Amino acid sequence: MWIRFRISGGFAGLQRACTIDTAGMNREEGQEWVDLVRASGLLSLPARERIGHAPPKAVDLRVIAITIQDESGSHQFGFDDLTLPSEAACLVERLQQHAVCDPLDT
Amino acid sequence: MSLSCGCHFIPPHVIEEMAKNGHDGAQASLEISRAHRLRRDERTVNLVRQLHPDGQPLAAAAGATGTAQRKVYDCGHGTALHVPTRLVRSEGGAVVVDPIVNQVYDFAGNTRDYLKTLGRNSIDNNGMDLVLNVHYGTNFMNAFWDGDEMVFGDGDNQVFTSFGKSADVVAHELFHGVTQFTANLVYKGQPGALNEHFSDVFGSVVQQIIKKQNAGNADWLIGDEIMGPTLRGEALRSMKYPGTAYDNNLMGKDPQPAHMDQYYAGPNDNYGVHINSGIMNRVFYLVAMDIGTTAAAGIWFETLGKLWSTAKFNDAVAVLVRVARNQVAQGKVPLGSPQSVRAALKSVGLPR
Repeated sequence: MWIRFRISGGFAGLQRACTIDTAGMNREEGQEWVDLVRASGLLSLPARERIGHAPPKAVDLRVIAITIQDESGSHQFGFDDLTLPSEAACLVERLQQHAVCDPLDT
Repeated sequence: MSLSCGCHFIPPHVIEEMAKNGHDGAQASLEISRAHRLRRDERTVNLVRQLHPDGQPLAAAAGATGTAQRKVYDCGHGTALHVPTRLVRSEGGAVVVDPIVNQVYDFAGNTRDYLKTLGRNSIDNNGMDLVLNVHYGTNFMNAFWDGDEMVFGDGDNQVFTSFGKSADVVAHELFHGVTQFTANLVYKGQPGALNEHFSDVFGSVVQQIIKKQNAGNADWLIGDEIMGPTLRGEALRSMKYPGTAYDNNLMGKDPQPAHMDQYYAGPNDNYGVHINSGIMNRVFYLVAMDIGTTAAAGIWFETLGKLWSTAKFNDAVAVLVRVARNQVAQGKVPLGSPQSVRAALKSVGLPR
């Protein structure tokens, strides 16, 4: 399983990202990520629920972009602080612990 | 000619165009129309919010107009907002054990009091209650305005500590509400950068009032109080020297430009709303240094009320100078204020 995570904006305006590749991990560690993704429910979401944006009057929200690649293909998700499914909070928190500063796209 | 009565007969886009061209009557009319629209939207929201899915009324629904009461809710590390059973301090209530609750309560009160000095009755100028949610989520590294209320996370205690313990953060979020009910600046590109700029300006102004500082001895930093233990001394933004607030392995390097030549045109951060705000922040700092924070803030606040949702930097330039000139004529700001504003704008490459 391969995961690309990026979180940007918010009050702090920071850009942070990480890439997780279970191929380079030991079995236990890799399984932990697989379990986190499964528990997040993201891969079970129908296509229309994989992108969610809060109403425009909500400001200072962080934008969260996640790509997950597994044996079923590549899956993309886009949320913000208010639309992130609660089941995915643990996964995002764990990904944030691995995220480092990410230079701006210009 | 007054446009404030009879404005229903003039299409809104015509009034907006006249406001852009500096017609004060049109600007007043635009503001009244906006207030009507927002109250209408608010009534709709309240009608929806007043009934919980289980049929119980939500008395604490945000947006209820009245007496600008502060209501602090403890999210208990969950993500549900203004849960009635989690109201931990309301207006006039005693100090509680949790320092974060007391701090957001006090800072929101300071900001509300400052708005009163500007002649404004709370966020919507109609006594809207100030709803503050603390301890949102787990290790939540953000604070935001959701369109009705304020939300503060506790941080991860590495990069950030609690967002609620900083006056400039609380005032910043509260002023997003004020902007929503005035210029209603679109949160993208230059209007979004202006939206962020006004919140930074008034976050800094409220902080200076609380600390009894002036332009000369203020630190002009945003977010320095919430930095984690290993990042003490860093900040999120510097209004004095945009682009210098931080440079470390955990956060990266502050990307804010201080001049239009370094304007960020990329897609990140809603096309740079927290990035390009640095250019206008520098302008405010320079003007405040020249004529004082109070006078500069008076010009900026009136400007916020005269801008419109799609206003860009050049629009803000025109309105700022016009407001400065008018306020000199009214004896509100010192002679030379328009020149101070123009000089500050010129130093960052505006207008462009």
